[in-house]
Amino acid sequence: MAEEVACGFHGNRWLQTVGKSFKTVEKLEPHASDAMGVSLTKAVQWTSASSGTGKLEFTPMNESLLKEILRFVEQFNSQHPQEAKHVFEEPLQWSTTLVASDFKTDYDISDSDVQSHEKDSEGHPLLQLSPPNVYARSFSQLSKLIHLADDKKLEEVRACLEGNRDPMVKILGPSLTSVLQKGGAHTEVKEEDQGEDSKVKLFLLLQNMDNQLLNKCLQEISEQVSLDPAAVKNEVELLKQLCSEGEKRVLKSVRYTSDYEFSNGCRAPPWRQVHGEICYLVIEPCDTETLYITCSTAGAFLNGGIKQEQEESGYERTSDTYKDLVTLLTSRSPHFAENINKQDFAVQELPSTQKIQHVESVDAEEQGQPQRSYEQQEKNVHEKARQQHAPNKADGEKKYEPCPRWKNLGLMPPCGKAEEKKPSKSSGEETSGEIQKKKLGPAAKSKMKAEFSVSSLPGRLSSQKIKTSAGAVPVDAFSESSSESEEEEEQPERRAESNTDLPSEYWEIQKVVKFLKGGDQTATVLALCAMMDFNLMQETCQLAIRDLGGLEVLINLLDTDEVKCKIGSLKILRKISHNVQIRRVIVDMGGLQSIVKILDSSVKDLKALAAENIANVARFHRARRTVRQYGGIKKLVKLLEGDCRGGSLWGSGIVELQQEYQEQGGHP
Amino acid sequence: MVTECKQRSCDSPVSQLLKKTSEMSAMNRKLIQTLAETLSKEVEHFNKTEIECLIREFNELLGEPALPVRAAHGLDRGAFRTILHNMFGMTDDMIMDGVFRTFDKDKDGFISMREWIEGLSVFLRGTLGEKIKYCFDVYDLNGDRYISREEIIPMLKNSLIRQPTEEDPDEGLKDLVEITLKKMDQDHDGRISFEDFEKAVREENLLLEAFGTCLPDMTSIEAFDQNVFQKQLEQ
Repeated sequence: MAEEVACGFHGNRWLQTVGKSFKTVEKLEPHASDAMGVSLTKAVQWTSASSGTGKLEFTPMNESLLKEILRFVEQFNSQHPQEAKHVFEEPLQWSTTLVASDFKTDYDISDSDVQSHEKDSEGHPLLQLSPPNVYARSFSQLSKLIHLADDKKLEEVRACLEGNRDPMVKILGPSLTSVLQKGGAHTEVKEEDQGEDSKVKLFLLLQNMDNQLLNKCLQEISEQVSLDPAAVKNEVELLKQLCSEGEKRVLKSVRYTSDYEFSNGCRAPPWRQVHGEICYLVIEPCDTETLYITCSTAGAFLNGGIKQEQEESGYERTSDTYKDLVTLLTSRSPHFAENINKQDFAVQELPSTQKIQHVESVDAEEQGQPQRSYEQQEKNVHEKARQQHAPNKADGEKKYEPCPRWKNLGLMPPCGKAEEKKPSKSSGEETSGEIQKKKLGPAAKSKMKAEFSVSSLPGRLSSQKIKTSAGAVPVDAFSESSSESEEEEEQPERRAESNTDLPSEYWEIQKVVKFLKGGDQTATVLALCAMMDFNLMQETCQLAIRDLGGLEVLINLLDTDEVKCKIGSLKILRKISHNVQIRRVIVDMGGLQSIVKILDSSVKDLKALAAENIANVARFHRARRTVRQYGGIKKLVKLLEGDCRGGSLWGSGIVELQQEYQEQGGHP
Repeated sequence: MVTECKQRSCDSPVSQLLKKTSEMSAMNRKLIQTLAETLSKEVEHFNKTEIECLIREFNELLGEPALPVRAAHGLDRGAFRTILHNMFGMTDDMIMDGVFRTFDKDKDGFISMREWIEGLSVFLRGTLGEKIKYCFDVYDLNGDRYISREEIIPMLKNSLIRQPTEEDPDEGLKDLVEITLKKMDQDHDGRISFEDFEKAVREENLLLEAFGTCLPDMTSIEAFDQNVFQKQLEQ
């Protein structure tokens, strides 16, 4: 997908999404230069001040966004008839290809002009056509017009957007629009607007669509490019701490060019994200000129001087690509290079699923005695540290220590059940990954901003909680180690200690679960086969399957008559049932019972798979009891006796079951 | 009576026999036995007796109300699909067409006796390799030795339940198609060649009938065994 670098969408916002996602070609307007760098909240003023008549570029991303918008408008009338009637504050106006003869019933046609029958409270028509200009004042009219436009639908949408650069203002009025553009789900609707019920509903619908567009955009990006903003963020945070006023400072200032962070953690506009670019920085070193830097998946490099967000140019690379920011700065600023080594540092290990980033921090308050302070931190942190590494200033080896400065931000439950805070997640350092999901629509309780984070501590570090000196967030208590013993007793559901970062396959898992739920045998088998390709032995993946409702479906499939579905389901279950929490759920949901029944099947593969699963699941008493209850032991013993594959396949679980069987005196 | 000379089978003694037998409304036992003997050497998976049963079954099926002229040539598409539906529980039109197409090797629009027997050999008892080839032929709607997106989409179209809330009901379908292609298109050319298909199925047997059920399940096979092989023997 070749994307030309076009002019950015200067400060013009049609919803956050469109404003950030569409690439447009600007005709140079006198106000254009003012517009560069205008922030979101000022967008409205800009629009009314100028009459920018840019055009939308023909890019695949733009095209797919346009189609989404078209779909939205097309169905608006039928899906939201009430809101469709709501009259816009101002008409949307654009140059149309429609003529009077295209209009049929519901319209007054006189010569070449058309007026709609539908009128507002003052008797003015909601749609007027004086070729080539058309004025529309409600979604019902927009919807109708789109239908009339037939195969020129997409052109109409394009023309409408090009003609109305800030349609939200025209539709909702300035106050609601600014609320919308501030973004996030916790938008407050002013009292005066609240009275108009349909207006508010319209607002919410538009917000919803906005989010969907954004998600779609980011999803497409994530399919093409895998971006790793977390590492970059960490580095930037670190560097920011190196800036200060005094003599000891290593850098003068560090700032992003954009305040807005997309839900995938990147700040670069989507059409730059597809190039692998994550964000842009402006860094002032102490001893040399200001550096304009691009952080990308390939590393960090100097760009052509991007100062503010939505620049139209300057994306080109003007230097070598360095491994990371620190390396770049070291090579460009001697002062930095000199002083960075003098800092006491601890290196934080980032989640194993992401690029490991060397991170250095200065513990300004505890300078000179970092060792002791770290130890103190550790004591505060948690009773059972999984890994103790003494910080080592001298060598540059990677050591793992909690850094007191790391902000410990709140958690966002990754799944659709946005309300519940899952006990199995733990808070940790800020990360992002590809975590934007369709389910997190406007109802999601998070702002689509930097605060959005999920724990990212890898298993080894899990016990080392991060505590800031400011005491930002309380430390979560981890429970004791989860090494799985054969004889594990039933324990109350406890927090997962290992990496609870969302797997990169989260999107895929969600899609596949959808097919599992809503398809026939053919679709189900395809979905099951696709699922087998996931990282089923990874805990995050396993839990994601559970959280997205996949586990339930897998268990339900066991009760169907469809052999292939059962085989597929068991194949997946045997992998994910290595996870203790999954095992519990399987038993709780009656899955074990179903599996035991399958032992009766005449299909050899099914029998073997069922037995294997029982071996996995039956690692705790309650499960064993269940197996016993349903006559499983007898069946398993029969299998063992009759099948020479038995011993090797089914492991110790079966042996234990046998023991139980014998304990019971042969009467399960 | 005008007899068409089928290209391939014009010459062999078996085909002469076949033609004769299909022209005759009543076949005598001897004839059937001879035919079965010959065929059993050429067709895998069935022994002589079973082939006899299949011949008898074929004639019975042909004997159903059909135009005499057409009956001479074999089972036509409609008749064959009825069989697929009644005997093997198939319901998908597209798939059934594909099965017919695959059975009808000489593409004359009829399933002859030989095609019937050879087809069933794979259908009921084929090895994995034979079945892979069979299924591929069923799914390759236009016969160009590739299963492409354009062929997959109609095949999977009815497999997904349309969500009423979905704005684009085809979105799910497209996703499913993409996921499948990703899984099976080993050489990444956007379509599934025979090699792609074979490799994928050998890795994961569940993918054999990836685009629709075109083989009978165990129950149908057992029922067929019972009804055709055993019952015929008893007569």
